[in-house]
Amino acid sequence: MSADRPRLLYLAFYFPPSRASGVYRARATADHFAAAGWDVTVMRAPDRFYDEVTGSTDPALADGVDPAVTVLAPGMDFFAWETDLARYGRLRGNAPATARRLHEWKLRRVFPEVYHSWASRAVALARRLHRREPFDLVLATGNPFASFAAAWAISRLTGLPYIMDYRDSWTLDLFANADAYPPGHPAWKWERRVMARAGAAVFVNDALRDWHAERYPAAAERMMTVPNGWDPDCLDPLAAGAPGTGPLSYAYVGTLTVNQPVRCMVDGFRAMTAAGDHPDATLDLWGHLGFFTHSPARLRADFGLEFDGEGDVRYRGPVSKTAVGEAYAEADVLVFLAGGSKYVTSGKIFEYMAVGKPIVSVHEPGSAAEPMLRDYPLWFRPKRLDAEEVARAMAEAGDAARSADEETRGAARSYGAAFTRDAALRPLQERARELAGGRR
Amino acid sequence: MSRVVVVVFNAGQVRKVNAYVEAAVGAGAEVTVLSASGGQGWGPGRDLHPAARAVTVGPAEHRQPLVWLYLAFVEKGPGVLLRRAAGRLPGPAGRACGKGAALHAKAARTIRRRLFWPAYKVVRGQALRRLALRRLGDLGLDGAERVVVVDEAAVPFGWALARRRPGLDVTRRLDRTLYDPPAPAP
Repeated sequence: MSADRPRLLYLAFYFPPSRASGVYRARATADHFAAAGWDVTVMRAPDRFYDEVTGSTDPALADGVDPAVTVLAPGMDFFAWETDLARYGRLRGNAPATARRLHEWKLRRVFPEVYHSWASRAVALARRLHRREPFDLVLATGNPFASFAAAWAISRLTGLPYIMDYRDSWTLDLFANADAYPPGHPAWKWERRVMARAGAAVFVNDALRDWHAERYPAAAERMMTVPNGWDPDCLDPLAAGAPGTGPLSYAYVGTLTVNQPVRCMVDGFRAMTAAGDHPDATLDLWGHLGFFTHSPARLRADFGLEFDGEGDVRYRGPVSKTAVGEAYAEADVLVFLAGGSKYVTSGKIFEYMAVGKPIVSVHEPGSAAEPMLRDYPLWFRPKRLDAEEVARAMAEAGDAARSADEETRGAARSYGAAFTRDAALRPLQERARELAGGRR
Repeated sequence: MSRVVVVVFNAGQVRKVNAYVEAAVGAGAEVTVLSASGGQGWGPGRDLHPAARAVTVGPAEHRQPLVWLYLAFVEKGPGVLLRRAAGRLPGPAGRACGKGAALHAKAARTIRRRLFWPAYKVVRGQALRRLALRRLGDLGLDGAERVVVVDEAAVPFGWALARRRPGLDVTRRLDRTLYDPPAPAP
């Protein structure tokens, strides 16, 4: 490595080969900084966590990481997830209640997240590496928010500036639109503490930034919005295909979770076909069911749907991020399914806009994605979230898929093309340069 | 036919265990449940699923020296003496003994809740481990696919078992979905 390259320590618990929803932002961030001339060291969770706890990996994602990025995986304890008694230590094996109480004490007194052991080991490893060859900046992404605590601790020990990237919110429950913790919970103290020392705090949309600015006015000037974006190395919008002439395919691409109005989407779709609008259309669901190994069975039951690969609603299964273009190519209309409040932005919306096909929204009005969709030429939305309105919007989107001319499609693609990850990350990289500027 | 051993020492988990047994037996598995049924804190109405082969260390739990002494000298002995005296002594003495028996029953319940359980539950896992290890032969572990340790009190036994038999899968996961019919491929 060249000695004049600024050195970035990037704390990203979820990083490829994990396929958790946040890894695309983390991967793009590491790649963007490496391409911008930084010497990037990533600290991520150990493989065992991805293999055994989340059970969700995508090796193709790890292959796509810039080879210049150094990836390290500090260890962690698996107390909260360990079910194999052969792996229990002497204390837990002989006195499980005492071991549990010790674990709970650490959650109360050390850090209120089960990932605190990973953060502690990341701090120890960072100190060793920093002594050998100093870093210039720490960038931490949450969740888990133990990475923010680790960045704070590294800063306290070494004097390094740090940036917190709120991929998700910590103390705000995005789905209930309310505080995530009761008053007096240690998370509040920790957020205040890490916010006070941070060089910058980054949020995925303005609504989240504003909420935090109101709560931490002293840090408001250091807050910025860095939205998600689509990844040109994973998706070629032009290869996403021209409209077909057969029955329309409505498609949802992304992870399905219980927080999304899946039932409303299916009911709306069936109401549309039953009313005679695009009666032969199919609804194709591409993606994983939930983020964890045990999720699919639970979600099948929660959705109350039988996905059998046949009929009008077809569960097409997971699709690798690197092969996602094939799913878009088969679709005529894209269904944007989002759960939660105005603070929720789905990263998928950027890919949806990039391919230039009609998009029909299935979410409560006021989603954080709406300001971006407002100027998209092929956006259709229900006035309210019920089957009848969803059916109407879907029918209109289907009509547009049949009738939109190449000029409109081109305008849609051009609009979406502006939302690449690199474009979104540029201001963050510039801010990082400013913070690290005096050091190199 | 797969064979599973379920270990449950806490009566509060019986409903979960029975649901698991039902799913496993329904899927053709043979289930043995090692429990503390009839032992300390295991009241009536906590019957295990009849489809499971039951092995219990409950009666042996009562015979442990400290538990036996506590039961004899704190809970049962004084009560028996007072009730017997109430039946035999005439007049005020008999009535006093009857009242004493009622007071003793109340005090014994309080002592059990406030003193005996808080102290005993700390060592109950170790005490039951010793008893359960003596019943290993009854569990049929040689053909067992896994041993499921349901509650914290059973962990010391499960941990000792995992160390004695490194090839045996001893787990805390009471996962009924293992017996769900396979989901159709997308």
